[in-house]
Amino acid sequence: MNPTKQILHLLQYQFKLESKSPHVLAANVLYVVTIIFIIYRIFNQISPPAWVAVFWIVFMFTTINVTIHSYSKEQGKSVLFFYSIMHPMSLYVSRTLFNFLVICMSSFVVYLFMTLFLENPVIEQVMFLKTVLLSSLAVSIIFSFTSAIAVHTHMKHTMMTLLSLPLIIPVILVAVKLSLVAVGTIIDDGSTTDFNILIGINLIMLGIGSFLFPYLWRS
Amino acid sequence: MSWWKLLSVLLLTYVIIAGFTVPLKPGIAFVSPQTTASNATLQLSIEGYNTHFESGKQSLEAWLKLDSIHGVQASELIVNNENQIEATFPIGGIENEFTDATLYVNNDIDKTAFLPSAIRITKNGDVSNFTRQLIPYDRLSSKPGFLFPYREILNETIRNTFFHVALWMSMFALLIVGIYNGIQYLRTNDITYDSKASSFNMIAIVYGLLGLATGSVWAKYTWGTWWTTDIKLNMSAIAMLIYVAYAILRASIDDIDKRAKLSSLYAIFAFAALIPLVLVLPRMGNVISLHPGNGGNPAIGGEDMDNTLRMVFYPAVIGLFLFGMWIATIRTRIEILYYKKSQLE
Repeated sequence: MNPTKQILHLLQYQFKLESKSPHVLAANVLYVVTIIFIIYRIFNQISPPAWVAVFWIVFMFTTINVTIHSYSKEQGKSVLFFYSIMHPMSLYVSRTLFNFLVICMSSFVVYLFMTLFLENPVIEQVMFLKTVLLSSLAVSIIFSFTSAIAVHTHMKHTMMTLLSLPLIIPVILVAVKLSLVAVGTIIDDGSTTDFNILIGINLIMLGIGSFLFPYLWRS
Repeated sequence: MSWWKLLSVLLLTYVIIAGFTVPLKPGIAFVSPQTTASNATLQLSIEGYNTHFESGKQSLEAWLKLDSIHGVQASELIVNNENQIEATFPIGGIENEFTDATLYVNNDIDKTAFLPSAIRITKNGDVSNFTRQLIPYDRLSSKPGFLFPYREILNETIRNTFFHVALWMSMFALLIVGIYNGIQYLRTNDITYDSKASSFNMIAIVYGLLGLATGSVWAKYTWGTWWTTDIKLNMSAIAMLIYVAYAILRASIDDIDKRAKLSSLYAIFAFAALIPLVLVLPRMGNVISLHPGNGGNPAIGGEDMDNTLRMVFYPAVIGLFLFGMWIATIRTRIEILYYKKSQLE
């Protein structure tokens, strides 16, 4: 099988696995709605910078939740089977793609409910969308790697959070800055450079991740 | 006993003794008032540090520098004590809207003590009234001998260079050795490399925490706060978070081979994640950094680091690095012994 075919096959498998347990998705939606509802009840209305802060914090924790779920399911005999016939690179890339899609969906859910409850201060929608997509990609690249490390430890969830959060700080910082530009709180002073930095982070982490993933694999 | 272990102890002893006992050069701590107008007589009260105004009374002279070569000399000097004088300057006209004058106080014992931009003179009235003379630069010189330079704001805290800055530098050196050993482990699967990698990383974490602590104490006395939103501070804080996560990861895995593999992989991945941080943080809004080395603040580059400081600073970096290496090798041996014990059981 060529790599592209392998990746597509693995993606299909992961979606199939996901569709068998729709309650996980429902649980995550409930998680998001609960948090946003609590914030809505406390503040009723929040300023654009606070909106951005809430969005990225909910984004961070939702994505961690979603990612660790998709991983811990794959422990077992079927995994061993895949490992023996697939190239580790295609496993890593398919994982990243799957996480990327799931994270995009969950950030859309976050966005939807925040608009519903807390209004929507975003002025430049395209810029915000680009920011969310790029940082989702970066976060999924990092999470795919750290969660593969975390599943080997005793306390998967805690380790996952602990290992990933310091690593995604740069991504979130750039994303927050770009979102503040998108809501009109700060003046745009070179958002192109910021987008380039996000793309650069994506490339560096993807490169080093796919280089190191085969080593993680042989255990 | 290896020679470099002895060397590290000797260097650190030298750094501690020299770093704490060598006095600072004479300097001017404070003047009052700090603003005046031209075409007026200025009564300036000057507060010195480590100076001998009383003992060097015979040769005492004070100058205010008005342009690159001209200045005005104090017409009258009243010495209150070793560290305090009252000077009277007859200031004539100036061309610019204002001039930030540097103050020189010279005598035979202290040589020249100076304060850059000591007083701001604003333009008032007649420009033509020139009373300035050539500054006798041949008489002005820095006090010779093994003394640390006096810098305003930094004062005695300039000694922190030997501890705070040296700790960070040796921390980075130790981290690079740790990463190198981690890569070697992944290539060879030899467990001794992992013991080395973890030992070097652990001692680097300790150095990093000490670096944060020394920096924090320094900031409290210089900036008046334990922590600010400074770029360098936040970057080092994030780096520390990542390496503390590394330490917890190692503690949470029992199987030795698994621990070695996962922690080396995480260390390399995290090190790569630190690279974008260097790009990102300077763009996060407060670009103006108070930290020495940024925005004209004194630091180890250029003329701020004089040869006397270097004579203590470089030994401090080398000594701390060798000392860290020593502790790391001891820890490596302990780790290997544990490994052998677990294999025997």
